[in-house]
Amino acid sequence: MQQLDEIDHYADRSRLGHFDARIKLVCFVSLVAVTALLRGLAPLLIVLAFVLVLVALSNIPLRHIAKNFGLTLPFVGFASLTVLLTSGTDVALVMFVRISCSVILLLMLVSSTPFFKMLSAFRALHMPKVMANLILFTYRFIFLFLDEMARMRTARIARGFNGGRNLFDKRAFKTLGATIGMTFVRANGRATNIYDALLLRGYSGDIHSFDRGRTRPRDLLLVGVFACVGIMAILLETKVMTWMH
Amino acid sequence: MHISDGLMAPLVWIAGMAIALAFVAFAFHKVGRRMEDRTVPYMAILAAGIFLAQMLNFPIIGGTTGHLVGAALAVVLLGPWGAIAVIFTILVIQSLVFGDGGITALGLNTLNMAIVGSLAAWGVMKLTPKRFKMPGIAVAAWASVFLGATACAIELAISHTIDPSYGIDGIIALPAMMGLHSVIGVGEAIITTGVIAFLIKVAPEAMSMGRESEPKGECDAA
Repeated sequence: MQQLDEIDHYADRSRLGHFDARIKLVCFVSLVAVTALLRGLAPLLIVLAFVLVLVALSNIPLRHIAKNFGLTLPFVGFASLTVLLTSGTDVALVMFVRISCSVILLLMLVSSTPFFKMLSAFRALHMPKVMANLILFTYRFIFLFLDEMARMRTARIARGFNGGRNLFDKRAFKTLGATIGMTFVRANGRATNIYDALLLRGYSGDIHSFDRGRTRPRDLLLVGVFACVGIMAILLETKVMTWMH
Repeated sequence: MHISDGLMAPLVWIAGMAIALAFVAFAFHKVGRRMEDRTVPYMAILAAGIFLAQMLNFPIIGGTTGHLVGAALAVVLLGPWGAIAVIFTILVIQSLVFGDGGITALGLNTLNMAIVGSLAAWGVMKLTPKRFKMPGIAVAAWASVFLGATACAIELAISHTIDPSYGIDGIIALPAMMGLHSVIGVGEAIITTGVIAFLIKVAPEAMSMGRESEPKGECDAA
């Protein structure tokens, strides 16, 4: 699990971090959606080439992208392998490239956008207030309670807990159940204090940010580049470009 | 059970997105209608707690592990619509903050884990007599994982049938997903009942906090 500062650290360092979060969100989500529609290897290779250029230019450490992409590899590999066995090499390769492009695009988006900018972008794109608030609080509480979990983990290990052997290990499940239950109890106490503190500081249920999210010419350039890649991939997919050639 | 982008056929993920959005909108409407000042932070505590609980692996056999989904736990503490809202929130954060689970697949992930999982758990709890509350919660937790995984396997199979470059053949997907998750569901059942038993014993007020403004008799699973 990443820490809060680690996530925002990459977002601040990235060249993609300077773009308007609303524009970036729309661009990345649209290209992921277009990629999910592609079935030909040629258009997918166009998207893959663009994604790799984006990775190279983004200033996000390759190690960070590779580590997170690696976590999805077993599932991507399993899916591609089953398709390889049932439908052949070409189809399996198409599936592997398509999922890989989508996963890397999503990783680029989340790694280059600070959480609060992302949430502000959601609100600007008319996400309901209740939903945005729930996401905001959940996110803050996750990092707040991670150290509670870490402390309880240390306590478990210090008392000789080793994760248990199998589904019939009664002691292991009793310990895990109590750990999760205690997380809720401790979380409740600390979250109540945080909410009271927010109310004292004038929290009224809406998200305000000093960053007004101005659209600049470079944002329009980003839209143009993403649109070109998307359109080129669709034209190749629909054979229009082949026909013209 | 998290589906990535690019795995499912467009028709399947677009249909999944439409169904999920309708349910999520209705869930937030139901939750918002009876919302008090502290409902959002309390739901967020549960969402954060379930998010973290999903990080705790439990042993299955031979070194393999599973992890909690938490739909049944959320249903016990918040009712079905609150649970859908909470699990959806977790999925959004997992997808858009940690890159776990896709954007186009968010609808299907919501459908499987939040909607099917929560409604299956709620249905089992409603059908269980009150004197068998804890066994009922255990069965509900198992059903939420098993039926969620079954829905996922069906979606994979449909995608593959529509277009062989999407999804996984049903002959492989159905037994693999259902077999594995029938075992993982046992872990979910044990952990969920363990957490509920712990909360009843240590913090009984937590059992009603998220539902204190709910009309009486709407959901009496807990």
